[in-house]
Amino acid sequence: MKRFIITIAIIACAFAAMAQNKIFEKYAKMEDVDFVCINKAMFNLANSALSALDSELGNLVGIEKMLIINSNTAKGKSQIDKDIEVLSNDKNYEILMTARDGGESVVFIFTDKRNPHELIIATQEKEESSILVCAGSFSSKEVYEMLNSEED
Amino acid sequence: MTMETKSNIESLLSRFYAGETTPAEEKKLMDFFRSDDVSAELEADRKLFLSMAELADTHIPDDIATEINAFVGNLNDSETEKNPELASRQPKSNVFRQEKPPKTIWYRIAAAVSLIAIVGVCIMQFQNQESNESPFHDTCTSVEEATMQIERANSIISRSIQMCKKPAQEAIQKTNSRINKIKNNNVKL
Repeated sequence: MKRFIITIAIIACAFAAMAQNKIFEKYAKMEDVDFVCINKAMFNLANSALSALDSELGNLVGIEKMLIINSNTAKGKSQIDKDIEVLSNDKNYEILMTARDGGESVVFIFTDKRNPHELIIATQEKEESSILVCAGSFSSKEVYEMLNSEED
Repeated sequence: MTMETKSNIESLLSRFYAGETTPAEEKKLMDFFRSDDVSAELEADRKLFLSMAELADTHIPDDIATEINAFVGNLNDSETEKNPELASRQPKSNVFRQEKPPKTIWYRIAAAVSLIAIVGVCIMQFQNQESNESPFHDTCTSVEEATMQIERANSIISRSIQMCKKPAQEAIQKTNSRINKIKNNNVKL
């Protein structure tokens, strides 16, 4: 019986981990949401343009994938807000920085417990919500450098 | 023995051998064969019933298992005294040791479920790894579009960092101005 319970627990954990990976997949098909995906190959092609910019993203070496999820409709916004809540409470993710100003809020979330690592920037405004996901082999140190880059 | 009794007994006997008699009828037969009023024709049946009655009357003491264990123990002890090498070979278990109830069915079910689950998870992980390279399709059809979207992402990040730092900078400025005020007041005093 013990073995049975342990097995079930392991399976549940595996399913939970896999379910997390699919959190953004639904947006690819949602009509109320603007969904942008840039995979590694396209990212490499656009790399020259990126390096020309004095960009924050330039601090993150090894970006393999980028997702921009954005919505200003009630349905899309509520779904994004719900997922931001889920990600903020996920123990696999670390909240790096968060701010609220009036009706706006922003949260920086990072995880190196997944492969590839993920940096998520979630913004919630009165009429619009968006999630930016950068996935790659960058470290937390690089993320901190990016967050402090504005001061320089 | 009357003819009526005889036919009745024969009928009961035929039903007994057919396995159709009730316990009450069997008792009736037993009582009949225990009596002396049994004809010679039924002698074979009488012997059978009497032998069955003897078996039924056998009393098995409740502590028979303990007695046998003690007896076997004594035998073992005397044997080991004679030959000490036997002691290491003999099992230390009780002769009438109660075995644990078999749990093999549950173990088998648990093993089968575990195996199926492990195989399932492995297959799913394998599929996930295969699709991990590109779980989403590129939405940008050109490098220019990708560049534009990267710029957009960059502006989101820049704005978000500013938004996070703005309250902190304001708080630092307020604190600095208060410190300066306090310093100025102290100088005046």
